[in-house]
Amino acid sequence: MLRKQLFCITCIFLCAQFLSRAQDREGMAVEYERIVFEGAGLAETNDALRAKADCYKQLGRWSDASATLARVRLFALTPEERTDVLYQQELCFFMTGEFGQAASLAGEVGDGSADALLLHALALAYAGRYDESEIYAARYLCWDGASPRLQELLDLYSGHPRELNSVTAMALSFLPPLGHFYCSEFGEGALSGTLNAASLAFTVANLASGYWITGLLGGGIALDQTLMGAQQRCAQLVEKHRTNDSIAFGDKLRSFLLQD
Amino acid sequence: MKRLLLVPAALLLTIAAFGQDRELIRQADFSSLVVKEAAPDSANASERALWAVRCQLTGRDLYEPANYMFLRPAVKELGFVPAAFALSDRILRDTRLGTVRAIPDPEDGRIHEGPEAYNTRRKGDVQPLVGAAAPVTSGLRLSNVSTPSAASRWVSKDYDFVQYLIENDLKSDARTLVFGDGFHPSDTLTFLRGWSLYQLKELEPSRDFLRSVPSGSAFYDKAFFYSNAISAHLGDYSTPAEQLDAYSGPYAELKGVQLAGLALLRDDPEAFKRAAGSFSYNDFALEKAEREFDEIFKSRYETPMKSPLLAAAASAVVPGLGKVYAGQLGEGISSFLVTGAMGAITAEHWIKDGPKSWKTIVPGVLTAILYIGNIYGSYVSVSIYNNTLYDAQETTVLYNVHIPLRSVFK
Repeated sequence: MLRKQLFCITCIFLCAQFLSRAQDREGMAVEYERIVFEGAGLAETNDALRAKADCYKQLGRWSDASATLARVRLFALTPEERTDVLYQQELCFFMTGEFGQAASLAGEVGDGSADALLLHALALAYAGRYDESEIYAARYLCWDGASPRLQELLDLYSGHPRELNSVTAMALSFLPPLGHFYCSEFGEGALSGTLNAASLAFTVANLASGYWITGLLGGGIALDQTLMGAQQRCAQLVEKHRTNDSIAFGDKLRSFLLQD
Repeated sequence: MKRLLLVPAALLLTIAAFGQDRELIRQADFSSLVVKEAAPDSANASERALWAVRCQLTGRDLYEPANYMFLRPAVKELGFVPAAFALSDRILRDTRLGTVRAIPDPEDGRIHEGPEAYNTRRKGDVQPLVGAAAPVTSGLRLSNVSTPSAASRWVSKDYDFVQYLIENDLKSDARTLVFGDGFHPSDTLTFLRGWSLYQLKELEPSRDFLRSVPSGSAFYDKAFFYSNAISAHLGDYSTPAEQLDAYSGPYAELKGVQLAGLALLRDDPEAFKRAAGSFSYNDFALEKAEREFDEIFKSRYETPMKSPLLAAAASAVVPGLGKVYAGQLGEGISSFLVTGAMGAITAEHWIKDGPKSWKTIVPGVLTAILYIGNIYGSYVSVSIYNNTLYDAQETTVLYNVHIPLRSVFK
């Protein structure tokens, strides 16, 4: 029985290697899956899944690679293998733009290699966690000893995007242009302020002139639209700036850390 | 020992990949994740200005195209006056109350409804099956399948492996395997190629492969009925009906169910009556489909449809009442409240300033537009209701032509 299994696995391995030479990584991935299907042991299954994930990685199919790595039974791996699997998962999440997920793995992967430090620094920066990112980036830069570019890196981080507080933005948006100004959107703030001022003026003018129905109904609807609209817009602007600013900073950090 | 064989594979790959990660990270492009906000490309200057204002206002704005982008295509589709009334009806409907029962598109959370909704009945305009992904295609066709190599083997030995891949949601692996050049041509291979493409929702090539499974094959019946269901999903009702008429295999009742479904899709009551003669209502897998087909037949051909004219008349008496008649309670209440509020404002100015004051004329014109728009919208609501019912029935028919196959060929 064992000899038969050995023969099967040898054949599959040779087949996978043949396909590797033929650059048929999709075919390789299927052959590695066949090892899992054939009912190999835990260790062989894990190795096959890792090799399969690597095929997907080479093909740029990051989501498939990530899903394959998620099937690896981590408890059956050595600490080094476990770290490598988690690192690969972090890389997959990073490449698919799921920065929050990638950053959440940084602590588990640890800091055993320069590549891991680089990945942690970037994942955390893109996720908007600049303080934690700075530590990893500095350690990456000093991996081979003190770096003359360290001060430049610290300067880069000192100019990281301001973290917008959604509660502050919401509170300020009750005085319409202020919430927009807090998000550095001065043009939109001016427009929102004008619309709110016009709604308020319409309401007050009608009520003061004794047009109660027009003031209450028309003015009420107009104020609901503009005042609630300002709050809604401020919440959107906070999210937009968080995403765009962290991507812009991450791109800057990436080109700084990876420059030759 | 076995581990010794696999470890080098993983190691070789790891060594080969060493140093590549940084290059991959360097080349990664995240520009698609950046949030970009702009008016639609097709917007003109005034629509862009309205978009900028719209961003600062609250409201549901559930409809696509948005209200500020609706007027121009509506004028082209309906003419200026109906377009203006259609827009006013849309504004009345696009409120929290008006959209309370709306079912937005699950992909973008919006209701896709263009000016064509204000046209008359679109009988037979089939909507895609709810929940089904749009058909995709990998370019795989019967004609461009690679030829087998000298080292080919029979795919029947890998049948269980292909099933394992499909059952474990590794469908693209299954496709890679069966479209490789390592197999002798066979009926099983043709079936598995069609089946793996069907699992990946590549409907057109899947249908072609399944149709080409010959009648002597053990997979013939399954391939035949699935290819008919796929054809129906692709909007081709006549070809499968002709093929089913010629079928004389063991699944006579299933044949009747598919023929009845296709008759409903083709709007052919006589063909339905002939096909429904084979319904036994005893087969567990088919009973539900048979009863639902009967219900659809009765509601479509034996129950009178709602009247658009009655809806319009009801809304002329009480704004929004026609919409309630059309089954849109939220839209009706919303129309009543907004039109009523506008009417109250006009009345206040009429009393205080007289009918000739601009303060009366402006809200008066707006009230008139909303009132007439609401009558027009109520008339259209019944058409929309009838179309929605028709589309829902077609979705049910397509579902029942397809899904029972899973139980029959389990």
